[in-house]
Amino acid sequence: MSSIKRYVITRIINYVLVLLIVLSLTYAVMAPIADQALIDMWRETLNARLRSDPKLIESLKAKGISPEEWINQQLEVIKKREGLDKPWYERLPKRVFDMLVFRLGRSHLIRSFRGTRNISDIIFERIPFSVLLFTSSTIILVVLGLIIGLACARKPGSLLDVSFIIYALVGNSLPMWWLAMILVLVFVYFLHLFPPPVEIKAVVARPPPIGNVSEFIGYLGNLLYYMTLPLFTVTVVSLGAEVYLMRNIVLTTMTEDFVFVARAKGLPERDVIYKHVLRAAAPPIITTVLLSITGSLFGGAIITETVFMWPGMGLLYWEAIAGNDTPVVLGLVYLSLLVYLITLAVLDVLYGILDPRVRITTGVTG
Amino acid sequence: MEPLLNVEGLKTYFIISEKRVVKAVDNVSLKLYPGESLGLAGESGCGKSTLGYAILTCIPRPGKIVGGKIEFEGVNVTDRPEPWVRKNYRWVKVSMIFQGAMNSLNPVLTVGRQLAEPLVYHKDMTYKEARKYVVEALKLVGLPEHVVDRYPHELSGGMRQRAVIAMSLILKPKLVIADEPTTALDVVVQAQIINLMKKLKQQEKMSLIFISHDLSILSEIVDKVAIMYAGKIVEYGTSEQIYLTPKHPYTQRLLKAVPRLREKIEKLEFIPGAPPDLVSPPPGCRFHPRCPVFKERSGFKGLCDKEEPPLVEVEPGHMVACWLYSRR
Amino acid sequence: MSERAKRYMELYRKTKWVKLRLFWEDFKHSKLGMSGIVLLIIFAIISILVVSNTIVPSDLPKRWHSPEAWNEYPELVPPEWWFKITGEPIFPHTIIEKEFPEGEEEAVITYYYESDAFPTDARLDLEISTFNTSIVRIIISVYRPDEEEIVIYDKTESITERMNKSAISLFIKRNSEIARILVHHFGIEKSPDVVNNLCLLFGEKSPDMWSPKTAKPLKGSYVFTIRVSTFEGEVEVDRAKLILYANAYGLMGTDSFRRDLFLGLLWGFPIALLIGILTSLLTTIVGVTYAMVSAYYGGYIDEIMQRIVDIVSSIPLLPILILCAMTFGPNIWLIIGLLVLFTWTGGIKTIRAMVFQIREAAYIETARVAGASTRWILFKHILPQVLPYSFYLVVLGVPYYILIEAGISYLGLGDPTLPTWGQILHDASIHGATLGGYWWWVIPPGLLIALVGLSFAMIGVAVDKILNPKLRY
Repeated sequence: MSSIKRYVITRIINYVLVLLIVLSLTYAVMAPIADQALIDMWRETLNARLRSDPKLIESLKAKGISPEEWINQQLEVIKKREGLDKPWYERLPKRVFDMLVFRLGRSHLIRSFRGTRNISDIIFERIPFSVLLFTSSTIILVVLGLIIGLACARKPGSLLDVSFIIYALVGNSLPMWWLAMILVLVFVYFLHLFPPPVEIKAVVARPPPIGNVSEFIGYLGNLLYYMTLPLFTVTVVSLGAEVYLMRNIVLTTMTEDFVFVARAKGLPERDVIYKHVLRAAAPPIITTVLLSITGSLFGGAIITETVFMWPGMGLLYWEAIAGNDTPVVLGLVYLSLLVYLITLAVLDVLYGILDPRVRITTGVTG
Repeated sequence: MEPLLNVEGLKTYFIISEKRVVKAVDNVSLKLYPGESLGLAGESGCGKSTLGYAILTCIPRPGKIVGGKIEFEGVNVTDRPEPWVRKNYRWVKVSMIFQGAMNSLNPVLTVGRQLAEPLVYHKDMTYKEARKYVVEALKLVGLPEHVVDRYPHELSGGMRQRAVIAMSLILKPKLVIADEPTTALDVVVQAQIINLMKKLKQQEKMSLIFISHDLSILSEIVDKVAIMYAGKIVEYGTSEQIYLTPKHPYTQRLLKAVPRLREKIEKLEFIPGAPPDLVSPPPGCRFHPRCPVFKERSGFKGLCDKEEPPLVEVEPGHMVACWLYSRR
Repeated sequence: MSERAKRYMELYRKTKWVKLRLFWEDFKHSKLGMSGIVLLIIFAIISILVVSNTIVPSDLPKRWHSPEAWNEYPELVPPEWWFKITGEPIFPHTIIEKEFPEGEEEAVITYYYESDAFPTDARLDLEISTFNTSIVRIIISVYRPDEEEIVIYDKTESITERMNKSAISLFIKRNSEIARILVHHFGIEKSPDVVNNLCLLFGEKSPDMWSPKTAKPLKGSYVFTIRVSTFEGEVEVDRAKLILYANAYGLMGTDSFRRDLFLGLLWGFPIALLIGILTSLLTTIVGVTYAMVSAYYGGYIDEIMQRIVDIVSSIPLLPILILCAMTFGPNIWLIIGLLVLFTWTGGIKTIRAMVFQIREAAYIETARVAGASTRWILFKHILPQVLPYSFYLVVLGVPYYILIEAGISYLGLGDPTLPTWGQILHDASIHGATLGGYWWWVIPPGLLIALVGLSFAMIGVAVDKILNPKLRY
């Protein structure tokens, strides 16, 4: 088996392991609490049923069963049906499996755009929005970061270089979502250039109208218009740090001997930079820069979404937290974990392709 | 006969800041004839590597040639603009074997690709066309064909060094400068490389400048030796002359520091003191603060510490820069 | 310990301090680093002052979440200096308290209105005592300088006990009944829902007097008369308080809960510093020790330990934090613990590489041969070399943890007993501060987070330049 294949398989095994461990641990820890929450929820539903259905009360009175008893009886049935009467470690494999195939339960508070209460529906509708935001900002950050970082590395100590170092410092200290709030204050309240975030959600948070072409284009246009501010926020805050990282990596690479050798061999400066320096810097760029972008996206961008009411996973977190909807949060955590691990896996593979030295077990994280 | 390489009064300084200028090579002259092999010896920091880079006209920043000239086959290459030098001289006529092959090779590119680069850039070949020349070069240094597709980290230290040698020969240059090619290797591999270079020297009839601090290695491979100290050449002659009859006190101490196989050694001697500061070197003869002659013998105070001794010929082909041998 | 060992320790101790001194010399040259230190000292001083109860009450964290503590403060007003800049008139915060020791059936409070601005709210508090009665009628009327007299309150209340002291609080701004009364009285052709009661009550009579944009304050004496009466028994007014809420307050304004933001912001300093520094310290200690042990032992142990690192660092921090905070309650110690648990893997890679290099050195082997225990070697030989970089990690970690804590608080999962800047921003967000233009609620907290983080980052960069000479320029 070639070393690349072995490397990829090792990494995938690693991530699958992480997934299983985290899910199992989470479930083990949360099971008692989640069960209680579920029971309470069913109790509520049953109570509501009682209150709204006088005929039921009548029939119960006739049978001589008090409402209390009936609720408890029904709860027993439900418990058996959901398997809640077995201890948690027996339920673990099934529940973890459920999560893996995205059977995530229902929410009693939140609806998906289409109107269902299926948690998996709800979450899957949101993921594309987050992915769109994340991917666009990543592309911009990598391209700009490379161009500017390279320019800084070629003239260390210049005005450009120093400004970006300060920029990186400031960007790392600012809360991304706070800048978002400021931007809303400035652009929505003071300048009226963008609509209030509530409008964003209303217009964009629905299934895309795929059928009708002109409607779809209109939808797309709206999407891009509303994405401007969030994209701007995420990119602007992270750019400084990414440029700084790239600049450092390129600088250290440029001091390597083989760069000097390339020049000695007669390569013109441009080729030395692009064919040797960048090529050799690509692996550490992937590990540090892309990893850093991933980290900042999964931290700051998620929260930033809520400020703009961008209907991605971040906003769903906010809504679920506000409504104390733990099952949704659980589902979100699972899916966030999944997306994060997939991203890491992709980075690992990229890294393995670019750096022939690394065909071992630790990927970008190790 | 015309010398292949003629260096006259070369000054190569590193300009770190306005006040800090490191005079790495200070007024060095030498001639090299076709087919000759010259050894450059001296302590670390004496300027031998810088001299090598200067001859290649590829000095790491912030170094610059600030004086003198370098003539190759009669052409003054220090005068020529960079594009000309890159096209016609560097790596074409003169190439370099670098120290520490692991760092000289780009870890993310295959060996073949890096060896082919000079061909692609200088002979306008494609990488495909260049491949057979690369394989030839590899064969020359004793490496099998599959090395072309290997990455540097997949090769052993000795193999890497051979690859670097092959890389230097790829355009069949007239002069090869080897900068401490064996320093980072263990003795067994060292011997292999030296043998290889001896074979190549004979086979390809190339001229060689071999830079090393290890006099014992030099003795095996070069005909002439130049001893450098603090950016200057202090002694120059054939191997025999230098090894059997060293004239300069520095050379003598250097040789004493190398143990010989068949001699009985009482005590290994070393040279006291530290290498000189190249920003503001000692006045007069740069070695005088550490020179046993200056310290112990009379009549040199006021001379060695005031005026630089010129290079004079003490026997045919044997030059020394020391007041011991010049009249004042 | 033998004489030689003692001498060795002496020398070693001296050299350690010499290294630190040299480091400090280098550091002093960095403008960035020194500015960072200056800022940090300022923040530390503020924190000490705050915690030691000198400039700020130390019970603020408790008061922060109890609305009653703030009900004499104006609601959602900008800082006072803002009005000085814009030149708009300030309505001074006015509290008039009158005690009636004899008890009056007709209590009077007079207020002389001088300001060019309107108050943001008004409130009348009454303390009445009843004897032998269960029904009381209270009539409050206002006599304006333009001789208009308006009865703004006329109600009959029932008292639960026969002999009683009761307190009544009348807020004027949001009182729709008062709105109706005033609209009717002045014949304004607007729905009572859209008018501003304060403008109507205190404004010059005009058809536009219902809106703060078009109304002008009517200056002069306002007489508030409170008449209490009952059918049987006795009733009298003991105390009356008139509060006219300013349109600006303090150094940083107030929020929707009427809290003085300046106090809240000040309290954020010690909390942020504590959280940031403590978490960063703990995380680095754990991480560095782990990396040292892992790298020193090498082989199988290293493999297994690195696997664990791999697994832990593949877990995204924020989602897990959210989940745990939701499940177990938002406790600050829990959050710190979780942060340490999931982020200790931060600096492992570099430290491990460093230790790999160090352990090959000759003096390590000599120490081992001389009989030094592993713990000795680790802590006396390897640790000091790793210490500068660890320090760098701690410094760089602080802004990171402050930011995360702020983020968690912003989402609503922060510790409710502590007024952190993130929490202030959470409240701001929930109350629509950005869309309402309440900039004094939104800008300062984030600015402070950034400043504190920045000071550490500046120090970090200065340290980085010294430790990483390749990047020097």
